[in-house]
Amino acid sequence: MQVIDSAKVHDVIVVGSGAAGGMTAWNLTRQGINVLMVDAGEKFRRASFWTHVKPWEWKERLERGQRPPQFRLDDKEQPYTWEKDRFFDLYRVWGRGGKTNVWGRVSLRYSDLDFASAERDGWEVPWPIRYKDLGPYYDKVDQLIGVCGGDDDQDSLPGSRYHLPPPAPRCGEQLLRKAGAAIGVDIVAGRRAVLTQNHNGRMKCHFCGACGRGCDISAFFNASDYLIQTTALKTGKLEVLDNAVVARVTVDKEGRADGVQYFDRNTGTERRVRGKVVVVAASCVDSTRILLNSKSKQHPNGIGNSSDVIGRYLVEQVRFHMYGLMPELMGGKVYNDDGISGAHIYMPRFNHRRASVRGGPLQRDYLRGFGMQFWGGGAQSNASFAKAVDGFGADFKKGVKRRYPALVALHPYGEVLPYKHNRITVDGTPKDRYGVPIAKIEYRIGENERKMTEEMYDTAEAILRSAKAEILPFQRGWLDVAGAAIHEHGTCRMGADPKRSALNGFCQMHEVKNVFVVDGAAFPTASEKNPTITILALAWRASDYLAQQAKSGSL
Amino acid sequence: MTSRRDLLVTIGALPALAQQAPKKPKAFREDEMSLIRDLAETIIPRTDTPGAADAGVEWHIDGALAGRKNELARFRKGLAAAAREQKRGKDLTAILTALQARKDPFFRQLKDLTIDGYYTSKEGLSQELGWHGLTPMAEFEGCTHPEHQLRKKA
Repeated sequence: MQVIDSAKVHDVIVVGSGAAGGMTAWNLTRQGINVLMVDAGEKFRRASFWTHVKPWEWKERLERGQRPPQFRLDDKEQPYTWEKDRFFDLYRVWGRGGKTNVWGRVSLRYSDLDFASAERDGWEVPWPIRYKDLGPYYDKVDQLIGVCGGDDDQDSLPGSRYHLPPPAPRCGEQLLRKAGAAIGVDIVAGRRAVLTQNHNGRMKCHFCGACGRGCDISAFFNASDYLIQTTALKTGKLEVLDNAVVARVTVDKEGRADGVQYFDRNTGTERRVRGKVVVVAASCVDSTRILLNSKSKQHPNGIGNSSDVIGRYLVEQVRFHMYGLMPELMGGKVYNDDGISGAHIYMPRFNHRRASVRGGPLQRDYLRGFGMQFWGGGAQSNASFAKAVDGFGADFKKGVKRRYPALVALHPYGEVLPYKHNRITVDGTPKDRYGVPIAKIEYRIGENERKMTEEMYDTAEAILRSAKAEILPFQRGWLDVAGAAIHEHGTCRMGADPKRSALNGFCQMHEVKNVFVVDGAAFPTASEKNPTITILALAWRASDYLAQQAKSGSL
Repeated sequence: MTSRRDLLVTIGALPALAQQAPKKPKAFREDEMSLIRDLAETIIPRTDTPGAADAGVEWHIDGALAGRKNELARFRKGLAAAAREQKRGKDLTAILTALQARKDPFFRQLKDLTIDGYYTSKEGLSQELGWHGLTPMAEFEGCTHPEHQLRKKA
């Protein structure tokens, strides 16, 4: 649908349709508020997904010139730049549901260890909210979307009364839990937004393991099906603009937002829509680009940015991969290990309450912490691990077969501190096809992350040694490329002090009361955890506040 | 003289014939393709299960390197060197053993591509390794071995 008439004034304009935008639109429309959602892409056709295509069929299809749905935005269409030799791998999905179409579904609640981290160690600004503020919203999100997980609860990983049953661990994962327990490292059931039983009228997962290609039955949360298509649109209160690439938030004489300017992705035509409130939820980097490009007489440094924090403190996580082969499983039966795809288990952060696996003091020489995920163990749809097996010929082939069922994978994630110099800018960079300045990403990790990485390596190696596993060769200190976790946040952070933050605890701009930023950009810290469940809870809380403020006429 | 029946049979077979028209490599010459096939087969030979040649790994390598200028150039250089050795009478096992011993990057490239191609083929992944994933199932049983379970503290 195309809105030609830009004279209409919507109650709220929501920029973006992913976890943050979808949640906001869903929660506002069900409270009777009219929302215009502006989506840079369009709906992905579920029937076109290559969900159950076997690896050899996949190759045959490509050979015939067929292509699977392209979720990832082509960087050529909307380029971004980075500092020389500091590539940042930015993964963007434009289209209904955004990255939730293909996300990892890891749904770990933040705890007060995360919310109060800066208060404890003094590094940058603390969150203006605590677990008691967000806990009820996590509960509501769990009930709405369906999150499976354990019934355990600890200071670094809160539990939930509303978790669906966790999937049974695979053999390798059970053995990792034992190996961890033997050295005092607790490995628990993971928390994932996958339906392990029918939930709210949705069919449960059928354990095909192809989630990363888009689910053909929508058995894991995606904002398009769970929030937009089946619910928000049904209220009659939601309009969606497809293929509308937002460039700027526009302002009135008083400097308050009065709409957004966008470009039609198909025709390149410039258009404008008007709204009483603008909610920016285009995912961290795109949201920040929009805010910084929203320059006006009243906001020469970008809208709501006289503090100059917008664009700064970009945070992600450091991570790496370590693989092992479990002796008990060598030469054993090959199972269908797909399960809910990805890890069924998780190692919560422990470095705040016990010494490192090597011993030493409780107090580390670095700040913050790390957790561990275990993606890619068991019978995989390839045997890439064989590249680390020596030799060739019949014996090599036999060795690969023997090891195949025994693979386990360890992926620690560590928090990166917010640094002022890690930032997104739009100045002095080239322009996109619409003539709008593109984002430049400057990002580098520091000494704190390198020290933490050491303990992450120690921990992964100790678990595998405890399991008496054959450890595949690794290079100590190696880290995945920046951006690989696809967890960008921090560049429009919330905080109590308007001089050091752009938003209040309800994701509302300190300086421009009718602008809200509800995606990962609002996070003051990264934590070691995946952000989506927290984005959903924050966006729900922010839109409750927005609705209440709108109704009382305070916006 | 061609009978009506023969003609019908021929017409019926046409689509099949069209599909079986010899595939053309995208990146390599025919002689290179045949050497790649033999080298891949030396890395993963046919035993009581299919080998790399049965799985058509040379086609995977052709597809993987087509359009990748630098990687392709590196690979062809290594391939040409192997062809020269072969002409001098060295067998492929000896050639690969020597390449492996001196950690030749061509060996790495060839082995990795062979592993990727073979173990994502029906022959390698399903027949050899026994993978049977990407299949909808009613339940996921997970590990049921008593000896693998984590014993809860009493």
